[in-house]
Amino acid sequence: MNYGPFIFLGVLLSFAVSWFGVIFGSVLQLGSVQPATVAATGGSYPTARPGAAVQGRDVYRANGCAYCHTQQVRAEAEITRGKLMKYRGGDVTQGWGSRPSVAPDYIHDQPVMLGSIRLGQDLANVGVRQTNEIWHLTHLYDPRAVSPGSLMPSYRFLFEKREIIGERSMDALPVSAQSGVEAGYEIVPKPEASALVAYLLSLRADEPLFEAPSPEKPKQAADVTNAVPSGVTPAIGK
Amino acid sequence: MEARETIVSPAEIDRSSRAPLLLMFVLAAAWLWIGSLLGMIASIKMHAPAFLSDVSWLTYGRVRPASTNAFVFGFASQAGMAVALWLVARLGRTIVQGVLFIIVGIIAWNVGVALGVGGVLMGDGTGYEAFEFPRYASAVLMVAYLIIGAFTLMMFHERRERALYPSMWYVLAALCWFPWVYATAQFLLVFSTVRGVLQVIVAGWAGHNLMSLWLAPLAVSAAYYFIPKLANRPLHSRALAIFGFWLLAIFGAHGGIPSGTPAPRWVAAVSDVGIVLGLISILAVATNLHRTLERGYARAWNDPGAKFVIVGCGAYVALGLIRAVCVIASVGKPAGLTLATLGVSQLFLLGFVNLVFAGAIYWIAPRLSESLREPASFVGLNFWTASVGAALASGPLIIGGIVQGQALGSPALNFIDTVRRTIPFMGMATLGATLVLVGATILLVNVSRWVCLACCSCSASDKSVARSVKISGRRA
Ligand code: HEC
Repeated sequence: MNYGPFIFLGVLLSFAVSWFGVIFGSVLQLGSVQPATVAATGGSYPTARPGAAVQGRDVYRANGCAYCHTQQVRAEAEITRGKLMKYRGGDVTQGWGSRPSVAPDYIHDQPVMLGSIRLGQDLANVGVRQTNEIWHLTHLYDPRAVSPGSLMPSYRFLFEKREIIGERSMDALPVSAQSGVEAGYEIVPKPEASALVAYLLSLRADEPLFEAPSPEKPKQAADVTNAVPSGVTPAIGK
Repeated sequence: MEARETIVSPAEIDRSSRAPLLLMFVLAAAWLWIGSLLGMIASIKMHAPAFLSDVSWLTYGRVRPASTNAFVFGFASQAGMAVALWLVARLGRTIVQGVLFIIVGIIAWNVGVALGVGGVLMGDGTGYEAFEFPRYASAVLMVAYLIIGAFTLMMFHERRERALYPSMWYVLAALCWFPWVYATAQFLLVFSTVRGVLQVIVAGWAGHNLMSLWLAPLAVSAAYYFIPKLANRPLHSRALAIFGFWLLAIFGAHGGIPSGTPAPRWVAAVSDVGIVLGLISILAVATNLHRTLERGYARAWNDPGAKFVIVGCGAYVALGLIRAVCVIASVGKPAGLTLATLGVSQLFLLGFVNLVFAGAIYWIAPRLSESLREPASFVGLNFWTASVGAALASGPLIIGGIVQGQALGSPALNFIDTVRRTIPFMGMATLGATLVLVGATILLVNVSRWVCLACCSCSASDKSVARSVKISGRRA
């Protein structure tokens, strides 16, 4: 190993194998994923997010919500070497989704923010479980007002504090002195906050798909239909 | 050709590398300090959400990536490039050429990091973990790297000592891998974004390689140099070194996509294989270093730089073991996506990379010039704060992550309670982050003092040279 060019070539070659294998291989397999056709309705899934939600995704990215929230529902069980393995506290049991997340769920997103740490809940389906816009806005302004004991930071900089002149504005939040709002003032969401909530409401990955059917009884972890057998890659693009 | 015949003394080599190395060291130490400060703020915010919460640029989701990136690109990559430059010069017995170009490269690199950290704090982060720097910052970084990397590789090519010591393999490999990894990530994520889950695969793969094929090999090259020097005997086994190196080269690139990610199964499986074989490569390095040092541990303890390197390598082994254990589904699944993820990344950055490079700085800087011989102050305190801090900033988070995973499994607890259970662990991590900041402060003070000393002695010797020139001129 005293010959520089030998090491140089070896290093480049071995790395090229990984690059072609993992990156190029995945591009070949996933590069042309198309929305799936939903058998029941004949529509396609997923549909592109509405414009406000796309702007909201930028607010989500800029403020790094993904450092505390994931957007991936993991399978509760899987078949490894012929044995069915179940995990305690799986994501479906938590009520974070009716089925595990699969590749087509993300095709319209840029960036895709799966996240890697759950200091807060998984948000892949937050638009299914929490549909109230006012709740979301209040939660962003003062998380502890609606979720006592929450560790989520408040996002007051997405809101405007205005003196009430005459009538209260239509979109003022129902927050009180407890959230530190003095009498005579009101809290109004800036466009960023409204867009962010539009994005949160658009987070629903619950359409049953061929590769990830929803179990009959979503609350039951033991349900085997929920398992994605190992070695079977989701059939994508078909 | 003729130049190769002349002998260059180590003193000459050190003189030629003094300016770029000291510049990189002081800037790296400054970024370490900034990264540690941001890291401490982020850590406090995890359990005290009201702390500094009213300013947008200090929100958790910006401070955390700003801290990590200041660490990775400002400190670790920069200190690593400095170590690489020094090793190539020393082991290859070559004088550093193109010092001015290298200095321009260093300045550009730091402008890039500043733009990147600033951009992330302003809300311009890209949203891909480990590659958050906005495109205007990463473009500058790339150009800066091409300058520094090209000159280092050129020196490698021109080396007078043709035999290649294991440190040089790692340096050469890392210098080739980094631009490939970084360019792939930038191109496929930022400039021409791939679709859907592919982004996750690219970011995971490249993020893994940024650690395993860039920072880790640079740190290993430092350890392979310092430990035998310290033990005053040759490396235990060259064959073992070759084995470990090629294992890393061939399998080390696979990783970063945990099973359970909504990506094709085979990607996660390949990643798992890479992690397990990566552990073997780590163990090969560790065994080799341990057998070289053998009974020299006590002596190592008295050297200011060496103990950092030894404890850092210990953290590397721990990291490899933890990652490999997490490949086992019944362990990895409940601990995945919890605080443990953060703990493992802190173990790598604060435990392994930070310690090894801090040790390298304490080793190299005093050797760069006669005038820097005076011992650095509070090195012992720096060692203890940095290593205990790293342990506290990672260990409790890993345990806390396991607790969190277990708590999620009990139906009696609602979500907030499962998170609140981890507050004591996050508190300990904050203590750790504070200690790390203290250590970074000491390092910054020491390196700054060295730079001042070098500048003073340099201008003094310039003056005396000028005077002697004048005198001899008058005589003639
Ligand atoms: C420091 C970590 C942290 C950050 C950063 C964070 N959150 Fe949270 N989030 C939490 C915690 C903890 C909870 C659970 C308690 C609660 O409901 O407030 C939560 C809950 C939520 C919920 C309610 C989920 C549910 O199922 O009821 C939503 C929606 C949410 N966060 C959105 C966001 C958005 C949007 C951002 C970025 C602007 C964000 N979070 C940033 C920690 C965080």
